[in-house]
Amino acid sequence: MSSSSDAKMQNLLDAITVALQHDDDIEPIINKSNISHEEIDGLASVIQSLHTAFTPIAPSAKFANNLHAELMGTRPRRVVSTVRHLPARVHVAAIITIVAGFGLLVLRRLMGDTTPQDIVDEPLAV
Amino acid sequence: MMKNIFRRKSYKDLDDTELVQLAKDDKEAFGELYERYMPKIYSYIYYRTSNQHDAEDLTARVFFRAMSHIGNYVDKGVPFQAWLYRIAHNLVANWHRDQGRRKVIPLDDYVVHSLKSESPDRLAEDSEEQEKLMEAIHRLPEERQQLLLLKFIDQLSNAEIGDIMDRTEGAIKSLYHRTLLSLRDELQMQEHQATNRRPKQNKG
Repeated sequence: MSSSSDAKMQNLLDAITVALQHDDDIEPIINKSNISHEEIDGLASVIQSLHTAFTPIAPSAKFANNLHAELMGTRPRRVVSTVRHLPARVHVAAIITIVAGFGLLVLRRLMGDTTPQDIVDEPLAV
Repeated sequence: MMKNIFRRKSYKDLDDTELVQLAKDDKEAFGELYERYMPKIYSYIYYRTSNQHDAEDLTARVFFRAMSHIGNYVDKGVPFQAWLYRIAHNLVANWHRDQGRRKVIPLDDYVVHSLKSESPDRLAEDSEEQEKLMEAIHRLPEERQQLLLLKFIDQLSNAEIGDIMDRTEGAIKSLYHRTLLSLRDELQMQEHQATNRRPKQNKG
């Protein structure tokens, strides 16, 4: 395919895509082009399928309003949301720290609450 | 009150460049930019993460990041919209890396909802076709998947997509053409394989 026919085809594909997005009939566009149905039909069918498959997803009104308020500073940012936005490695580090701290507390409780000071204060057996 | 109404009205009339300049010192100007672009950015992220919670988290991060960096933003050929999409693209890429997930568009759950047919037979047929289409899209390189999202979900022009993907308008047109050819060939191959399998199954 030459570069000029490539460009014609690319423009036609673009026009078909835009027409479908505006719910316009694509048949007149194809007929007006100098490209045969045989060449374009397969591609037009793919565009049609993509157009059907992809539908924009709207955010919830609650989310949109809350985020707007947080950005404008009229609503404090939620701690949970701030924590969730941290990178995964920070989450892992935080979990390890919490588990290690808890483990240390349990260990000390099992060892009878002995502190280095207790050992120092303990009278030496003569 | 009247002053606010006038100000709000004037924000709506301003173009992005003017709003960005104002937004450097004025949160309400940023609020107008947020209203213009948040739904599109959300939709883009939603299709790239496949779930509402992560889409909401990442959308929030995009706008907090944009707000904190807007003071340094200078339009050097990259319009504000493209700048926002680039932030979203980078955050989604980091998200995929952190999650260790494949960079695919997980659309399968949403396709069924978008089918417009009402007949059960037709619905099943459409659903099967859409499934094949999605499989074919999953096999495309990431940049082609991104192009399809920007074109069909956000309905951006080739020039706008070019700004986001750092390519010329012509390069985007060409990439779109090649993407459609790949999809068509892939779907035809699947169809061919399915046709070849049928007689064997009947014989068995």
